[in-house]
Amino acid sequence: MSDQLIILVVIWPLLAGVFSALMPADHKKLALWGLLNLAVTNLLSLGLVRKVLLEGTIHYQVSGWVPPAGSPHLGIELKASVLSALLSWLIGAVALLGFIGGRSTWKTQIGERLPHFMALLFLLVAAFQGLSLSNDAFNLYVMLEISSLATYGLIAFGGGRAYLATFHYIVMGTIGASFYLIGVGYLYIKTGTLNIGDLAQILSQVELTPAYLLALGFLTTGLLLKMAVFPLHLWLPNAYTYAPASASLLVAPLSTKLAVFLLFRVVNDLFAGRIAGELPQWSFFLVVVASVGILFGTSLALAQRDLKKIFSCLIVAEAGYMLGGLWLTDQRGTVGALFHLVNDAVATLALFLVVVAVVKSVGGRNLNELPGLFQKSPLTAAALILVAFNLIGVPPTSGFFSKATLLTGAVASGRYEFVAALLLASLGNLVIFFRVIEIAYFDKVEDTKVSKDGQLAGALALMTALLLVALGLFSQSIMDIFIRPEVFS
Amino acid sequence: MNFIESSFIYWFFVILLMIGLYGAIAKVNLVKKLIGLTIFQTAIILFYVSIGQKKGAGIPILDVGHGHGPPPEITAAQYINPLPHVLMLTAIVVGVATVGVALAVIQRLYAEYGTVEEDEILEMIVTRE
Repeated sequence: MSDQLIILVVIWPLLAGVFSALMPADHKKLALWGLLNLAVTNLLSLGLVRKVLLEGTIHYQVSGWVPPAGSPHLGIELKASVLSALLSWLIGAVALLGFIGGRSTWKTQIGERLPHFMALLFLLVAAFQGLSLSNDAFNLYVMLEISSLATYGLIAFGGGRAYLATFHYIVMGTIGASFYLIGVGYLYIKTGTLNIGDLAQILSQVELTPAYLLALGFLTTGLLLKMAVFPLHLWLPNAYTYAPASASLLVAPLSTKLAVFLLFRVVNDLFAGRIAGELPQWSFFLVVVASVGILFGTSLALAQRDLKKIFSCLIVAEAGYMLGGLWLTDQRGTVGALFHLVNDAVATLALFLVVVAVVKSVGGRNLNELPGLFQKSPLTAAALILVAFNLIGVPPTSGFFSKATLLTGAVASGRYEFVAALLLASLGNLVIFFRVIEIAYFDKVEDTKVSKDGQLAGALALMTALLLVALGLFSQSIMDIFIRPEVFS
Repeated sequence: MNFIESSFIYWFFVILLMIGLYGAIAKVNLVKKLIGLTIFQTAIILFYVSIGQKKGAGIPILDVGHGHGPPPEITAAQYINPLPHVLMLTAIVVGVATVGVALAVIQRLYAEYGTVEEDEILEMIVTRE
């Protein structure tokens, strides 16, 4: 039974999604059903984390297609390392918290279509789990596309302006995934295998001819599109802003982060240890792109007046942090990028929970509707301040530790433009959040009645924000147990 | 010249890819954008199918049926590689799903704005605000 744990983590949400589509549109029953299945997914992931910590990396051959000794894999392989098991649990935990946080918005935003909405939600969770656990380059493409297709559907539930945003996302997302597919094709022609372990072994022994570099180029470009790094970010802000709240709570924290994880697999598994020696120009170029992206994303956020759009633009900036970290020649940058991935998933969830709570408390999310937030819902305001601390990088929140590790890596690699971008982005975040908090705190309003719904949603946001402090306090152990073994293996 | 001749199929694939990419990015009509996207995906599928090909090889089916005597000796060079084709079955399904979702979204856009021209839709969004 425990051998099958890893596949159950993927299959359980998939089946839950299929059955969700058949359920009656009863919000209460569906809430219970969703909660139950997400709880089971979480337990399965936790079991997987425990098993990996006790027994080391798990390799699982789907349908028992075990390769003969010495020959490459024929079937699909799943692999749970400490990091991918942690990510699998992170997906489950974020989905669960996002599900609870989105519950209050179903009535107004989803209504009768809830069973279908939930089906897509679970499909998305299953695809995310597959992305974190699969060890087959083509299977990863399929998972990438399943997650994207589910996301398109979820965003289109927003109606109105969401439709055009969805269409742009479909075009850009498909081009990105297709580029990834071309890259996989090149690698397959050159090596004859799709298994990442086999690929890594073959690639470690060959000289990097133009065909391999082209493959790397296609893989990276495709994933940059999925990560929404400037200048390939155009689809993201509108899509995330106009998505229904309960969809963006799941999509925004995880979608771009899993593309980052896939890029990490490409850079760190397939082209391990080659960045510093053989690809210095690539590293130079991509870190510059990342630095520009960070500054651009932050200034884009500065120009917005819709709270959800501000936070969506910040995701564009955050993608730059991780891209830069992954391509630094010093491996501490990679550690920083991966810790930032975990930190940013929780922080983005907290941000979007704050948006839900703000809408509940003051009735809108535009900056000019914010005044009185501190009186109407102190808990929401507290969560907002805590997440702001995280994004600015104030200790003991995890944002400080991820940025500190990224900065260490950047200084060790001698990339001062990345250092400057990180510091300027912190300053930019300070301005963004100070402006929000200033309006919410100092601008006076007549009606200061405490909003009960707002307080309830605010409590969940605050809880998630407190997780950031916990992540910060345990940052060293998380990096030592889950991230460093993966990077320095 | 020899460079073009020897890798003719790849040039075909690259040109098709570029036509698709141009359509998906430069066209204003959303349906045309989608057609471009489909051409783009089809080019990749053709590329994959072509890499399974070998000179002088046949379809990858054994001459002897299951349970009819011992299996013949298999020479890999006699059969084309079926794996890329199998992969493309999945990719085609993914492509069909993408087109389906995109068409549904276009339909909604048409119901909402009465047009599928992107610039007209953007204009209407601006005037509505």
